[in-house]
Amino acid sequence: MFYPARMNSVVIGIHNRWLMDVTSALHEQGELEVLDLKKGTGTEIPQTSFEIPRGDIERIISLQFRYDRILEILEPYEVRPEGVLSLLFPKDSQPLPVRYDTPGDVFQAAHEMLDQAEPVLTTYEALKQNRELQQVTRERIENLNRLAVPGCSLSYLAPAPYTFLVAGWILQESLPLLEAWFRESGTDEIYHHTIQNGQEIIVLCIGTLAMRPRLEELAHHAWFFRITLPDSYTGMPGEMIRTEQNRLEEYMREEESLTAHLISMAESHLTPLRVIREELSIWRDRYEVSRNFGSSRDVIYLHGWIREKDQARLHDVLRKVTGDEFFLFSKPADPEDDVPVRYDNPGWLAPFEILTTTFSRPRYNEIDPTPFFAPAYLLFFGLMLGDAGYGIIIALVGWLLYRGPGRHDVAFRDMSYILIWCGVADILLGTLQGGWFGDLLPRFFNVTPPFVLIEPLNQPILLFQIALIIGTIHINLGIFLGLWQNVRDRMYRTAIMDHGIWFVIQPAAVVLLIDFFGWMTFSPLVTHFAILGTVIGLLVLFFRNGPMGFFSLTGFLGDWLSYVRILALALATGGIAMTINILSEMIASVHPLMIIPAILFCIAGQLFNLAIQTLGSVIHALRLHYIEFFGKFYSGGGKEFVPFHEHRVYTSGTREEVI
Amino acid sequence: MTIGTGAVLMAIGAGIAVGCSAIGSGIGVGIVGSAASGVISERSEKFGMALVFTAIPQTQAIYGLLIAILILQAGGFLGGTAADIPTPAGLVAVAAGLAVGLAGFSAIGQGIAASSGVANTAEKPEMFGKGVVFSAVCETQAIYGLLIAVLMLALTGILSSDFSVEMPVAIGLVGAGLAVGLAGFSAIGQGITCSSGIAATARNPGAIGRSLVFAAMSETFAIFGLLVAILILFGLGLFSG
Repeated sequence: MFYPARMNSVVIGIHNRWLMDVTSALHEQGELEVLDLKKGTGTEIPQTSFEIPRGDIERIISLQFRYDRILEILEPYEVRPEGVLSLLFPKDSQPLPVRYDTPGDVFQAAHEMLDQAEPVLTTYEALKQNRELQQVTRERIENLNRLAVPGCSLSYLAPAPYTFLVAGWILQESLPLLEAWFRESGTDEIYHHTIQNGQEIIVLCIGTLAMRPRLEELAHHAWFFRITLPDSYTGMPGEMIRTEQNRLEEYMREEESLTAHLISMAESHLTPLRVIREELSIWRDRYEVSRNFGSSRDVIYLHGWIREKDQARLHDVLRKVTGDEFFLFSKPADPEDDVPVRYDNPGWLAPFEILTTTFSRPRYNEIDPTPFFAPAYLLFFGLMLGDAGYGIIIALVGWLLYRGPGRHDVAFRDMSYILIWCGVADILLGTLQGGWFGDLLPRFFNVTPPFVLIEPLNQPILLFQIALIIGTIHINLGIFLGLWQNVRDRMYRTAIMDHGIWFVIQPAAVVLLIDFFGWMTFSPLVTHFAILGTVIGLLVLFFRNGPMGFFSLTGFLGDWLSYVRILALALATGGIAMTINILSEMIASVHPLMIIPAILFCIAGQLFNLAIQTLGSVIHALRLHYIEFFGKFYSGGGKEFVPFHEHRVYTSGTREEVI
Repeated sequence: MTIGTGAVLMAIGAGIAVGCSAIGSGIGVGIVGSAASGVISERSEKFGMALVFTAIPQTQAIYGLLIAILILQAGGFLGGTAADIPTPAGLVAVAAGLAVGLAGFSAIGQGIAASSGVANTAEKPEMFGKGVVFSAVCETQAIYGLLIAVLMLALTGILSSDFSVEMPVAIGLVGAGLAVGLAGFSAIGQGITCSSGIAATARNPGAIGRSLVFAAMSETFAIFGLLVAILILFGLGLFSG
């Protein structure tokens, strides 16, 4: 687990009649990263491109498009549980045991399902049309309301033999524009009437038919909103408003019915639609991966990477599917090749890989820092936050997230797993530091926290020393890993000059410093060795790095002192929590009734401190690793291993049930 | 009740601690906040991410507040009556205030880096972790300031309300406070480097290691400040008890 998984490069040859069977089997197995054979394998393999059956892919794409359209319509009508509890404790939706063995089966099922789901499209179209009609009706009601002035009959708006009428409305601020238009048009030939209605002005203009072009021009101005109503509208606006409102209510009832129908269809159709959509995607992946294959007359060739320990299973799968009609060439990965990297950590450690990857994935043949990272990260986090009360909350939140959203999202699951362990570390180390929401227990309940070994606020110097000791161990572990890596790679010169030399400089410098400050007296022999070690160390540093060797020294010093942030953050957590408690006490002491605001202030303050200090502890524990620790041995930059693997959410891929 | 010079100086120390660090944090948060506003004007779903980045430069003000509270508590201010505090003890509080307050200006550098983090993470969500780490780099200066301030208060006994510190020691500590506090301004340069480092890493994820090395170079000057401050503390005999 201290290095990425060992990989093998494999070339597989199968008779072309096994093509889809083998592709499906490899897809299910999900352990082989398929490479493009045209980019070379290092072996003499025919590299003629494989011809993909275009018809099937196009059919799948067309079906996917239709399924996406129906799913896009139905998903908003899916009934989902609401509330925080349902978010934290979602109901299990088990993947269905579904698998189609041939593309033909999927196509048949897909078409049958589409036939069943066809009413979704017609219902949705009807709903869209209904909403458009509602919109038009509402606009008409609005316009009718505008025209609902005494003496205004709708028949005036209907076409007349000798006159032409334009009705509309403008905003108050557009009045000067209307007046200017009237001045230009000549009011003698156009009779107009305006009615003030709040911020709107209703405008009625009537002229002879000869004035129609001018009146049409008015209606086209951006500031003029024309009112048009069907010619059939007669009588007074009030009567028509009632008619339109009745119509609107009818539309709304119809909308309710259509929506209910869509909800019902979502309930019955969504799952089978998703299942088949997933199967279509899986088959599309299987077809598309074959772009990377090569072929000769009867043989299909595959090239890829597989974990060394998975190769036997690959053999078994091929043997089972083809009945031994295959060949497989395999060779261990050459670190000089662009080998994809797959972590090789046990399950309990694997979630921490996400933090290593955030910096950079290890290169093949490079130490995977995750096993060193995880325990030290938890130690630093626990020491920095240093409050058992906060730890309980963090662990609880982590557990809730793990049980809830974490079940459906791998990244979320990993992060919540880490959060749980951070909470546990904080409970343990917070207890040792006596932090229970700061000094809440002794201040308000006169309780002395148990198992306290060190109190940051009372013994900062001790914690300062502990932080520097931890820093010394951590940095030297990093240097040792760098030394180990270089020795393993037979880079002895780098191992000695970049790493080994620090194991000479450090003890020599410690002896000289202790001697200089007079904390202890050494024998002359030890002092002379220390001087010699320091001189040799400095010579090597400057020989290796030139004038930049000076920065190696200051850099090392800086890295070491950087660990005092453990003390600083522990102090900050305890100090701010104590401040909140003091202020709460002061609020409560003003008046007996002020105890309630004091409690509320205390809770809000502690939550704020928890949030801000957790963020700080997460970031600074990461920083100590990424800069101070990784800088000694780790560069990363590895390529992710991406196996050809079925991505199933709604189906389990077992052949038990076909919808 | 007569308030002595020592109590006045102690109050000034608390004021410098919280005031200067709050200015630094305010500017830093302002820088990242403006970038965050720009991001959410286009992509409102990035609000949570933007809020985390905006919170990062606030820490300096919290450190300042912490030291201010520790000073006020040690001086009896929180009990309603300031203790009869000798002038040297007050001067130590000023020194602690200078250390954490001036180092709080590192939040400006952090704001510069975090604003780049917001902008790049909006485009590439996978940059979130890296952006946060680059932004955190610039906080080291503030931590050094906090460390020296706490050491001053603890080693002189003021943290436990022992005001027997002598005047020469107190004046010397002002020098230590200035050393680590002013060196904290190096974080502004570091913030500029980190900002470019975030952009470089967004383009080429493999650039993170080298970019961090460049960023860490500005920290050398903060280490000088810290080292000088520790040597002053040592020279004044505080480490020998």
